[in-house]
Amino acid sequence: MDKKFQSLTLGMFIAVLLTTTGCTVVEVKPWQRNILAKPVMAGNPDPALAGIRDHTFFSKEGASGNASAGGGGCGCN
Amino acid sequence: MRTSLRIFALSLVLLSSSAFAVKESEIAPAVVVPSLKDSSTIDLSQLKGKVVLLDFWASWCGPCRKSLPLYNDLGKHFAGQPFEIVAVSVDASKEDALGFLQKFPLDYLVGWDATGKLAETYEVPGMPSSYVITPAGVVQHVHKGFHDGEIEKLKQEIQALLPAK
Repeated sequence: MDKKFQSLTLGMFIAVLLTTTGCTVVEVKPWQRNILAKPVMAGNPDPALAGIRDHTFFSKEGASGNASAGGGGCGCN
Repeated sequence: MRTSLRIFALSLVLLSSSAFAVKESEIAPAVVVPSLKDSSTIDLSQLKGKVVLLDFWASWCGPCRKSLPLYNDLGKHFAGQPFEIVAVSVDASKEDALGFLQKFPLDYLVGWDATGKLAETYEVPGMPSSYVITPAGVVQHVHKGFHDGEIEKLKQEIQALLPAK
């Protein structure tokens, strides 16, 4: 194979390898959690309030456990 | 072709280099950070000849509220011996770190890694993380997190490195 062609192929491969790393999900390192670690960033910042809302919701709907995806949404669990 | 292969190998090494965490029996990377207590600089190389407990902490880290005050007792336990505790905050905000120190006064060296570069160098595995460093500057033990019985374990590890009385 032509030497020049081999080098070009390899060069292109490296270029693709380097650019694809830009597409990966950036992992938050343990020391970078700062703002993410604040209580306001929690998915459920007030468990008591969430519990009350949950209770009201399933009382209205007449089905329990409907706050999550469990049971496939049939409302029968 | 050989040059191309070398470039390829080098690029692979560079891509994977971020995964190199500081492990046991490795030389502790240099630590030069400003103190949070005064205008001095904390330099690990100046502590050679002493056993050092290097700890990475943050004001937003829950277990750090437990571990750091307990290190005060650890310092007292080894008072008069060649032992030093260096706690490095990775807080982005200096005010947050100082606020923590007001709530939990610490009797040992406390530095600030403002940019997170030092934590990156050590590739800190979790918060908090601590490193027991020998008088020669070698990492002897790495602790990830802070669990029950950790202080006793640290005491034993530090004692083993200190010269016999």
